[in-house]
Amino acid sequence: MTAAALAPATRLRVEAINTYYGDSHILRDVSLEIGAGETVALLGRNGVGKTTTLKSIVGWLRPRTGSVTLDGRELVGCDMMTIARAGVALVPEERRIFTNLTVAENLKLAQVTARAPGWTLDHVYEKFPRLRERLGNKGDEISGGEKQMLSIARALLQDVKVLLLDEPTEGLAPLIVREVESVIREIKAAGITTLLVEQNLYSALAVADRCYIIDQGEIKFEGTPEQVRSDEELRRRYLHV
Amino acid sequence: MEALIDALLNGLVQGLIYVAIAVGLTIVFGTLRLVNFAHGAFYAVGAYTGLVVAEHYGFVTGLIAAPIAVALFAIVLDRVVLRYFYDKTPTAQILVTFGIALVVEETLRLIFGGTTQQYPTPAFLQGAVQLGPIAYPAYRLLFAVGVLILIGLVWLFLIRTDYGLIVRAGTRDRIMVQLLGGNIRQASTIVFALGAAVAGLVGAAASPIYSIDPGTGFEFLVPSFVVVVVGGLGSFWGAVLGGLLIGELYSITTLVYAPAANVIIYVCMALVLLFRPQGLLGESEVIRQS
Repeated sequence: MTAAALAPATRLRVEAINTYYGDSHILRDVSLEIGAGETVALLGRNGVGKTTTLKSIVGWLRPRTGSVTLDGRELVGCDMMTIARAGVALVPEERRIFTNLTVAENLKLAQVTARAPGWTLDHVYEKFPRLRERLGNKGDEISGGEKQMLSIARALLQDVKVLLLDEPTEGLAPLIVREVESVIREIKAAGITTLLVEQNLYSALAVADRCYIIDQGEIKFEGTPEQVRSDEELRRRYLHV
Repeated sequence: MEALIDALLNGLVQGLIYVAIAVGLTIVFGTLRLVNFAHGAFYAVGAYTGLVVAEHYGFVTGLIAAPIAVALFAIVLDRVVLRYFYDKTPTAQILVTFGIALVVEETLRLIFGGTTQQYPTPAFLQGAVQLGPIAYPAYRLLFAVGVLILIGLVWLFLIRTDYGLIVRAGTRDRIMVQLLGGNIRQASTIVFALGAAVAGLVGAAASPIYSIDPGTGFEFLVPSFVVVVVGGLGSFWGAVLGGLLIGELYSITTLVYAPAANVIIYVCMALVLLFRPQGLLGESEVIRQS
């Protein structure tokens, strides 16, 4: 059997996208691929284009050139709603919980807006038992960890083809970080295709099948977590603060 | 004492009109970030539609036709013009909606002339109700109860329906709603039409109380904007509280010293902006959109 036959079919393909904020050229010919069921980490220092890459995939920002395809379907030019309904879910860095809605309403909204159902509420409560206890609380009455759980749960209530996680452990207490890491491992075990943007290098390397490193808006490296672990010069040049 | 009770009841009726207009304004602003100076035109179009239909088919038919006609008008307006201004600056939004309001006003003047008109109170709703020491017109009381029910129904729509859920979420974070696959545009159009229909219905229902002319929309629009600011931009209950407060303030000042009535509501707005800039029930950070 050839290597090509063993590789998972490409689910999400980002091809030479160039994204700008006004006149500032942020992403320069960024390309990456994620196979079905893969967990891929996008690594890099602060402000090098990781979140911009995710925003370009979900239609929040529109690349001026290049292509983003999901199972072969072109996404560039589609609006955020269409891309979300195609199966691309973003768990944003700031969580963006609706603070004027209760936890139950936040979850219900995800069900209402879903193209097709994903996890059931029972499944969500099984994985995130603390959310069940907080159903009646408003979004601004729950902890940072609970907000992160809610944000991930919201995405998983939908029929997700690709899950984009932006800094899921950022700003969380160590104990909560371990909980979130455990959830990410469960997502991986469930076979959900995931692109993980993470500053916490060792957390990302522990779950990723493959890694990309981005620096100054350009992809500088593509390889395995083992290669990143073993290449101190690579880490020093692109990842260490 | 009788005069005070009468003024309080009149303030309630007037305040409820402000509430009905302000609720639409505040929801549209909260969801679409659209500063809609054309909203008063919905009140005027509703009043004239009610007037015309009532003359031929009766008052109740007029009350049914007015919100439907105004909702359809609002949908066309939204789809053809306003949606291109959702992401524009408030200045551009004010200019275009102010322009629409002027076009509507002049169109009404062209069709109906500039004279003041008033629909007579239907015979079956004439008479007065004895409220303690005063006899108060039955129609005004019925109008107040009707508007309160209408506001309650709008609230139920917002908290009990899927569209209402999307709209409430959209008032906080429109981008996240779309990232979850929510059709914020469709929900907003429905809310826009609903807000317009409420203004149109109240315009038709109020025509036996307040005379109408082509400029009626602006007469109620400006105080309704004051209500939105006083209550808090984007806050439903802020609009309700602000409307009742401004209505009563106007009415009681009219009783005490009529020349100050038009000034007092702006003084009230200035004080609220000074001591609580987010409005009585508003939040300091209404929305995060980027």
